[in-house]
Amino acid sequence: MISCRDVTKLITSDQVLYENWLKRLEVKVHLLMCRHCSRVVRQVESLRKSARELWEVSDQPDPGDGDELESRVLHKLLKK
Amino acid sequence: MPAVAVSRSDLLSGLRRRDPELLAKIVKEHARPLFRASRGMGFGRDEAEDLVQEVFLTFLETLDRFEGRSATRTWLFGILHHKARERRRAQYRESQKDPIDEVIESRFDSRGNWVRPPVDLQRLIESRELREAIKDCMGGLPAPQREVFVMRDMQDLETEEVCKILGVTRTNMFVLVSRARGRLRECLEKKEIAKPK
Repeated sequence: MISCRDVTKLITSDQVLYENWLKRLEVKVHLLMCRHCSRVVRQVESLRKSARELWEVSDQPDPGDGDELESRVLHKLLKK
Repeated sequence: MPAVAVSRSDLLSGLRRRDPELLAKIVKEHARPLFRASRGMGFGRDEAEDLVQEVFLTFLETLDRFEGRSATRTWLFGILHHKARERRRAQYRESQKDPIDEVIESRFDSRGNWVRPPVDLQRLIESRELREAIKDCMGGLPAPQREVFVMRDMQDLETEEVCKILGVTRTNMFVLVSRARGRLRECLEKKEIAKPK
């Protein structure tokens, strides 16, 4: 039977997405029975969700990050 | 004004003759994500802007090699990665040994069962402090792991695209992602435990 260490490794590396259906089923069954490994899944999901939010928030132009940045970059490119 | 679709060949020939409208279109589409990615990799504001500048210049200089090979975004981020690596002179091939491996390994017994189970990050999530905590913990990531985390988890790029940009195998990518998330999980758990109930 697959161990908690192996399940954690497969989940945190994204390797589980590339495994065959039998291995994925094995992982799913393990997760149904193991609250600790399910917690790892939740940790990774929360991490990814918040990381994406962080990326979206940083899309708000700070002074110097927005149109001014684009203008400066374009200006230099056109001078070359 | 609605965006006008430009064919790849028109785009390439336009860029070769430095068509100001096409240059503006490419810069508008990609400058900000490149800048944010550079900042996410830990570069300061000025250095990040320099990097973006270099990326576009290199892009224009390497148009012949770019032709038909990959999406513009993948090509640009590939250049960004190489420029960032040049600046840091870092080894992007992930080494065989990383101290985080031992930390993670110590959480399991010899049969692979948990001896130190993961901590629920509930308090950080509920107090809406998780984002700030992640930002803080990212400072502890080695450059290649930080870069992978920015692309894979923040930008939500597909594994294959990140591999192409970084020029690493899928196996190498699994190691980088796992170590990056392992470090962040350890750091976040410490913050969760330290948070008053």
